[in-house]
Amino acid sequence: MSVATVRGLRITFPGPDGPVTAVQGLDLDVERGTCVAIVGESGSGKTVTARALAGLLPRTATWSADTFELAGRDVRGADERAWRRLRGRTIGFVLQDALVSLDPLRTLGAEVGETLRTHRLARGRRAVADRVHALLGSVGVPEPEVRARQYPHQLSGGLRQRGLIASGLAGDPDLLVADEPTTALDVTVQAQILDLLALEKQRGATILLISHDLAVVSRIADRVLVMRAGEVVEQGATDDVLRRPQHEYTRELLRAVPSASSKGLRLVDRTPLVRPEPDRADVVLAAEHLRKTYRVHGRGGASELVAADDVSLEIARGETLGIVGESGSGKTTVARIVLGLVEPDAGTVTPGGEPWTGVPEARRRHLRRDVQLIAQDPLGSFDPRYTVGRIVAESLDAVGVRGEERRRRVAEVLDQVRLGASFADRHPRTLSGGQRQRVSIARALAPHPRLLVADEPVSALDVSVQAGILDLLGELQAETGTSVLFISHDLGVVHHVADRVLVMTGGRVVEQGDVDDVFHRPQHEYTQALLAALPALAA
Amino acid sequence: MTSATLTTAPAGDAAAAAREAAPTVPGARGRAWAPTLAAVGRRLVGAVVVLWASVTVAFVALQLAPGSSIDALVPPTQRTPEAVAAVTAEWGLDRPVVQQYVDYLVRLLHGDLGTSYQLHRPVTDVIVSELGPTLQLAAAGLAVALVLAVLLAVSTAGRPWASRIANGIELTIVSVPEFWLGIVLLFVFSFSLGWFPVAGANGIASLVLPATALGLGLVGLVSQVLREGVERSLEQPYALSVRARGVSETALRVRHSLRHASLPVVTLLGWLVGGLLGGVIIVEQVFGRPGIGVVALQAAQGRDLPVVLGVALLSALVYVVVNTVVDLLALVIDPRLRTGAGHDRRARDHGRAAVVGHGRPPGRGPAAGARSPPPDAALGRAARVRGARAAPAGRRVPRAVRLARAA
Repeated sequence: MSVATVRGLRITFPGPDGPVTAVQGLDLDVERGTCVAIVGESGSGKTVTARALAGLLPRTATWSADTFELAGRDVRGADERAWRRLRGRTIGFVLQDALVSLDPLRTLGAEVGETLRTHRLARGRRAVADRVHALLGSVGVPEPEVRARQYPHQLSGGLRQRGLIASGLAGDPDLLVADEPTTALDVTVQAQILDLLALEKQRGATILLISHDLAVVSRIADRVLVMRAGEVVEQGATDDVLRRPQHEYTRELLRAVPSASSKGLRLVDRTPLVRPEPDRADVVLAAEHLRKTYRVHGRGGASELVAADDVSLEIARGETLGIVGESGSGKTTVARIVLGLVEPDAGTVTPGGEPWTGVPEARRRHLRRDVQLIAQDPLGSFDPRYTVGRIVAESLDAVGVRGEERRRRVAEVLDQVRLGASFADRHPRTLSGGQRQRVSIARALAPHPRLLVADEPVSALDVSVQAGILDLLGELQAETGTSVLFISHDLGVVHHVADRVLVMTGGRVVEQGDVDDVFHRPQHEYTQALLAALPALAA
Repeated sequence: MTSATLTTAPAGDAAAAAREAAPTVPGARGRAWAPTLAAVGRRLVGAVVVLWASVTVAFVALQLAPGSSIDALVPPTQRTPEAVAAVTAEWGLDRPVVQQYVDYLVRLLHGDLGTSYQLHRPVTDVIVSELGPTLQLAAAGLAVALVLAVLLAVSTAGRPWASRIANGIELTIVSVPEFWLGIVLLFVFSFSLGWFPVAGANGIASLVLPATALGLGLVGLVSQVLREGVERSLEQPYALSVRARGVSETALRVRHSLRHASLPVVTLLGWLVGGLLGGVIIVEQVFGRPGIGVVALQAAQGRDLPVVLGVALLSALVYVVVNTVVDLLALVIDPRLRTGAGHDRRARDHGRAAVVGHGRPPGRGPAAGARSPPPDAALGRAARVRGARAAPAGRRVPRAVRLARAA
């Protein structure tokens, strides 16, 4: 029996030049007890579709459908009251990023219990609390009585997401819509949440999963719909779609996923991308025994958090060194020390053999041009009033390149990042995410640095855009011979780009070496756990 | 692979897990009293400084004002040199100003606010006897302002036409002076309709019009801030979660959004009380009510130094108390501010940022998920990486903007 039957769903939003179509003629069937996934990149219409199923489209949206049935009921004419009765009871909804999707001012128990109270599924304080504890227990929250009294900020990302799922399941809905339920979670936590969703499916839940990540989908979905620009381009059983994609776009998406097998190839078209061998004799930057601790204030007073503990690394000319680790592993702290933004408590950094740590800023400023940053969020690192040209020129001002020479160099690097000099007059607001990251790379590249520090440079990008940026980085490295310190939580990305890799957890390097050795024959149990948690595409 | 990943504690979550475990560990809270005590101590020292400063400023201001205390003390008809000399000696007005100031402070430390030049009663008595009606009026005015503002904000937030109309009404009221409002209210409801007494402070009936006149002046601002907060809260992802549970729009606004929106209002409370104190003086005059306002006005006109200083001390005390209440209220409303004994600046800033909807909450530290630092930090970092000496002038955030953001 079908829990949700949709035919010809069309959703439009008003735009400056007339209505913009977000979803165009979508058909969807979700059979009871199955998991259907909608996969697509940003702007594909997948999230809007999910919200339409809960009657939660933004006020400005207009929608129509030939058929729109939820649990056998036609809801095309449903008013707000009717929708309220459906939400929570017929449709459970789980959003991404539980930190902002749970009310930060209320306890986890209050949030989960709200569904029960709203639909009068439990009466009385005691009965609600008992149900909440049972629900939290069933989604794998340890010590539910304690957790129910805690606030979202006191819980880990994994527990928050479990709590959010519990609140979605509280009304025992016919259909659970999960919109990117594992985005922004660490790999190992993501694996746990996916296991939980699979468990709920086994228990009889019907799930509509929305995701940008093909690998995540492959773990639990029975059927997959691939969406692009508001249309379903391909659908079918998960295995068929992922192993034998029929549509060119699906193939493109699968190709764009970086992994061990894509090493040495361009992601966009899988043509060879050859970089010269790193020159091991020429050490661009060496760091020895770095240690950094922070004081943190918690309930028990101040304590010390060791962000980096005895971290040593060496980057050769033309080499890409990857650092992988989950949040809190210390990888960003290491990046900041290398960039000279954070002074380590102990240890030394020596770029090109010169002292970098423990010297006054005035003495090391001339070295700064050699080490440049590519940030995760380029827009946040741009002055919103500057043009692209001025943003890029900024890094040249600092090293004293001015006038005609500066203008020439700006045009040159904008060409190098495949944007073209015509972008110099644009404002960052008007650029797409990929274009912004290219500007960020151009700015880093302008003063001819010896080392680029890329901190999660592609984490905020769609997979096809990410492919373009990773290809570009590889090509630039081949052209200029610069070295890259590449920091990421994504093992596939690191395997694809890096020559050598450091695996960090809790501020320590637990394993390092050639990227193929480490990822194919992991020695440390943490690396093994990371790799086991990785939702891999059945290649 | 279920058990394998479940047992291999992901290191990223280790810190968060430790935090989660904290409340179950007995004694974890035991050490927290030391920073709390320090915070209380800091607050007390601050209060004393504020009180001293306000008395000093009032003292200096009165010394600089034209006219002399003698005029107030000795009626012109009896002004003989002997009378003036006697009064001057009696009140110590012949001593140097600095000496008068020091004497006053010393007496203050003994709890003696002096004796009124005009009323010939101890200042403490004057204030205590007049405080009641004023407190009633101020509390009633504040209640009127808050109730109306909450109703206006919750019912109109996020509804374009309703907000526009409410906005217009609020701006009109804000721009109308309290005395005019008071006179109109008197004219309509006392003189014409005869519903409420014209003057005096006898019971609830006599409180209605003055409290309305006082409260209306503050409604506009409070409801604007509240509405903005409710609207911002309604756009947050958690509001979508709440709606997805089948919760009604009103319940969402009252149970969730109002609490978020009340945080900026609480920080505004200090300012509100200032508005109330100013308004009280005018409203008491218009409605012929007894109270501190009348006493203060007469004392200032008559250069009655002890009373003026007493009133200044009282209002400073009110500010100190209100600000303490504000800080405590913020802790009650926002659990994120409670970590670190409430004085961890970083935590507080994060808390505020998180209230506005971006930034990381406190205590979360680098433990979990969030991968983007606050935008301004990224900007500054990027500039430093490039070797910029300080943030270039063009990108320094103006103080006003920073304050506005913090508010």
